[in-house]
This record gives sequence, structure tokens and C-alpha cells, in this order.
Amino acid sequence: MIWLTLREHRAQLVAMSLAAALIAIGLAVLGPYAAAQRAALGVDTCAPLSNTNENCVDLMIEWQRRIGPASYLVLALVIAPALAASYVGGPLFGATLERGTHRLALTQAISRVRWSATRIGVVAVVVVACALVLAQFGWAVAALNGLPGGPRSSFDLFDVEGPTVVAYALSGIALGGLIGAASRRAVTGMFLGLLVFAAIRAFVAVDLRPNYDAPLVAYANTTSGTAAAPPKAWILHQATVDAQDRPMDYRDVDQLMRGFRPSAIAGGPTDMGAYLATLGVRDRFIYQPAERYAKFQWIEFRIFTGLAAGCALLTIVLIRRRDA
Amino acid sequence: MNTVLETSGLTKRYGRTDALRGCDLLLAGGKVTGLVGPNGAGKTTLLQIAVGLHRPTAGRIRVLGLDPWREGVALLSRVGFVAQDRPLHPGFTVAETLEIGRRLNPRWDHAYALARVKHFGLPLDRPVRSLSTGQRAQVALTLALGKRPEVLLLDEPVANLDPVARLELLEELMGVVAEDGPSVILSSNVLADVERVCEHVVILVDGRVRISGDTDELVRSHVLISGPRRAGPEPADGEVIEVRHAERQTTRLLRGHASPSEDGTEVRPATLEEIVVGYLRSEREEVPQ
Repeated sequence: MIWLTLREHRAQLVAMSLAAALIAIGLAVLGPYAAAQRAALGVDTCAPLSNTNENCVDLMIEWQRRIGPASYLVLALVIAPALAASYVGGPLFGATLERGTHRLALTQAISRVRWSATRIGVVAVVVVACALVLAQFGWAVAALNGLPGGPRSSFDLFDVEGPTVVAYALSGIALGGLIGAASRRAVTGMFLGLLVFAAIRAFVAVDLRPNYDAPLVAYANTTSGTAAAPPKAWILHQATVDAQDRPMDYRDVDQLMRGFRPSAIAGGPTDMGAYLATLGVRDRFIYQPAERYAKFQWIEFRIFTGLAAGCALLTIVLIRRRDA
Repeated sequence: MNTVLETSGLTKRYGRTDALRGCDLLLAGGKVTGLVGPNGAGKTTLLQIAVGLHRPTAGRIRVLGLDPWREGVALLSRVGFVAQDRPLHPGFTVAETLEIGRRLNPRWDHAYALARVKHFGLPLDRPVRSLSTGQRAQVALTLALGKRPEVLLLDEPVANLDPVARLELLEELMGVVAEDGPSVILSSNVLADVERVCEHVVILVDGRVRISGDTDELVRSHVLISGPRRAGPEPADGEVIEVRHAERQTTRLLRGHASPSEDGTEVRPATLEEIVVGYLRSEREEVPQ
């Protein structure tokens, strides 16, 4: 049955492995190249001229020209699991049910559970292997994004490195497989699988991920920039708030700022930020600290592997119970 | 006499349509049985239930004494099946197709399968999609026979084949059965073929068994009586299955015997085709009542 699964999905599995290998090689070569070019050009050590920063901008543009379309590799890394979900997951059951060849396999001496579970298992192993390779290239992504000291926020690479990548790929394929099995159409599995997977990914990333743990809050005087949140934290929300912690409209802030001069003359704070702080007006940062990165990765890993397991189980039940 | 297939009250409903409605059937082994009936009579459904692809809505079915839905794996190592349209993986070579059988069946006879394929001159390294329909039919049949099955179930095995390929396949089938091979149950719309190869015939109409009997016995027990057109009394020594009126002549299909009478009636044995068509027509005519 392992042989049959590999043979039946040879084209997809080979294509997927090749694509993963190409992306991996590209990142392994172009990541260091981008970093080296950046260092050679001195993009990050550039000191702006006294009257303009054009000299530094020119260096940046030259660097981008030299690495060319390599930055698309980063995009490839983000969409690879979704495409794998579509290309491998959709036809996993959809194609054979559509063509009727499942009647060939299911009338040999093999149980439906073994048939469906082996298909899922074999493909899952290949997918995990590909995803494990691709999950190692966060550093190259950072280099291609022009982040020499690593990403600004430690969460920037959340979607393209580490265990989550494996979980995304698995769940995508399981989703495509389930939809293909339910609809008995490969194309439905491919497109609907892709859509549903993208929707779930977006929902989790936007609505769930910021709340895996209660976010922390820090305040700073309005003129002190982002210093309030610790370095590399993931800033979820930033706003100027009043004494009651309510976000303020900039017009209200403007209104308050008019009182600064008279106050300073009268012996109040001579710094605008400090002045506003006396009125309870500060910048509020809601953030997830960098230390939570690994924890969040595992939480999201569990969500998506759970989704994958659920879809796989549902597919097996469906295949077992339904008329073939 | 061993029983290969036994159903009682077998019913299958797809949504609102009944494919089988209380089908009672008992088929003995060691024979070639033909399932005939109009499209939608339930032939395919019956065969698919018999190999555990579909689950009966109600009633009971046993194949070789096993429940196909619950004991599918045990049953399918002993039953060969070729589904309608002979599904095969088009990208697989002939050798790879046989490999499926070898890997998924405990009783697979690879030497036999290879010999068969060689006998028909099927190229092992060619993909199935490049084969003719007749060659594909042979590959599909080999895959079913390689299991060395006790029962072979074939759904429309000769559909879409040209006359030569059809004949070859049927002769091949008869040969296989002759050499102490499996019992065969096949469905077909080609009554001449059924008459040629099937020792037993089951006529399915509207999801029920209309008649089940040995081909010879059926042919022997039915006669066609034709004579001048009249609406007179029906012959008494048998059951009239169907009456056809032509312009001047009336033809009756009779189950039983008849002797020519004085008024110019002719009596001749009915062919299987005439018998089956007679039963099918009579069924249709009864429907409006």
C-alpha cells in the first residue's frame, strides 16, 4: 500500500520535493549573498550626509538591485505550504474517487481504513520532510529582508520558520485531502482546500496568535518613541491614551498641547512628553515579549497539527462509512 | 451444491430512488451466471454491494458465506471484481498495475498473471493509457484473476469492446471457468453474449429478481406461439408471459408447452433474447396497473 501510494502520487510528491529543494537551495545561497552584498556596500553602516540621506537610500536601492528577485523566495516560503496543500492534498483522495480507481484498490484484500490511513501517512511523511527542511531558513529570510541584526521583532519570522511551518504544511494537506474526499473532486479539493486553509491561517495569525498569552502593556511619554516595550517585542497595538486609558483622537491631543507653553512659562515641565504625562496622556504599547516566541510557536504548532489530525481522522471515517 | 451468492430482501436506496427493492437471490457455485435487465434495474448496485463497495440499506447478502460490508477484507481476497468501465490507473504500466494486485492480495499468483499478460501480448512496460480498450479489459481481468478468486464478479465486462475483442474476452472467460476456475457472475446488456456463455440467467427488473434459472431450462420451457390475430382465449397449458399483436398476427410468449392447433398456429422454441425481452416488456406493461 505504501508502494501504491508513492506510485500513485509520484508526480505530486516529486514536484513538491523538488520545489522544496529549489527554495531551500535558493535561500541557502542567496541569503548569505544578500548579507555579504549588504556588508560590502555598507548599507547598514552608512552615515547620512548632513543635508540629505540620499546617499544611504542609493546604497539601499543598489543592494536591492543586486539581490534582484531573490526576495520573492521569501514569498515562496510563505505560500509553499498552501500550494502543497492544494497540489498534493486536493488530489489525495479527490483524484482517485473522481476517476473511480478507488474501486480498483478497495476491491483488493485491503481494508478501507488501511487504504486511507496509509495514503495520508505516506504523504504526510514526505510533506513533513520537506517542511522540516524549509523551516530552517529563517536566517536567510531575515538576510533577504535586509535585517542584518536579525528581525526587528522576534515574531517577524513566525510564519516561515520553526515547527509552525511543519504544522501548516500538514494541516493544509489534510484539509485538501478531506475536502477532496468529501467532494470526490480533485479540483474542488485543490481550490476549496487552498481557500479554507488560507482563511484559517489568516484567522489564526490575526485573531488568535496575539492572544495565546495575555499581552503585556507598557506606557511611555509621547515623545520617547517605542522605548516602552522591550526590544524585539511584538507590538500588537500602539496608541496615545488619556488618564482613563482610553485611546485619544489626535485633535484632542493637539488641544491639550496648546497648554504646554503657558505651563512651561509658569514653571511646569519643559518637555512636551513630560507635560502631557502630567495630564495622564501617554503612549500605550500592548505587546508580546520576545521570550514568548518559542511558546507561541508550539501553541500554534499544536493548533495546526490538531487540525491536521482532525481532518485526517474525518477523512478516514468518511472513506470507511460511505458507499465507494 | 455450494452457494456463492445469497440475498434476501436486499434493498438499496440512493436518496429517493430505490436501486434494489427486496431482491431475493440464490446462486450456486461453479457456473457462469448472467445478470440481465434494463438500465437502472440494479445490476451494478447488486454487484457493488456484493464486493462491499456499497452498503445495503436493508436486507441481507452473503457472498461465499461472508458479509461483504463487514468482512470485506476476508471476502475480497477470494473474490475478483472488475467494475464498470474497468477503472485502471492510466499512468501505471501494465507491470505496475499487476504489482497492485501482488502487493494488496495475500493469495496473488504473480506467475499466472504474468503468463496471462504475455499470452495476450500485452507490453508490460507500456502505460495503461496507451493500450486499446480491449487490451485494458484484459489487464483489468488479469488483475481480478491473479487473485485466483473463487468468485469472479464482472460488471459489463464486454461493454465498449469491438466485436472481435468481445468474442475473445468471452471465450477467454469460458476457458478460465472451464479449467476448474472461479464461479462467474457477470452483468450484461448483450443477450446473445449471455446466451453464449452463461449457464444461469438472472433477470432483474426494477430492483427485483424477475426470474432466475438455468439458461437451457429457460429456453426449453418457453415457446413462442404465433397465429392469426385474435383476442381469443389464451392457451391453457402454461403461463402467458407476453402477448404481442402485429397487424395480422398475434405472438405469445408462453412458459410451458404448446402444440400447434388446427387454425394455423405455429409453435417454436423461444431464444433467450426473446424470453428476456418478453419478461422485460411484460414488466413494463404491468407498471401502469
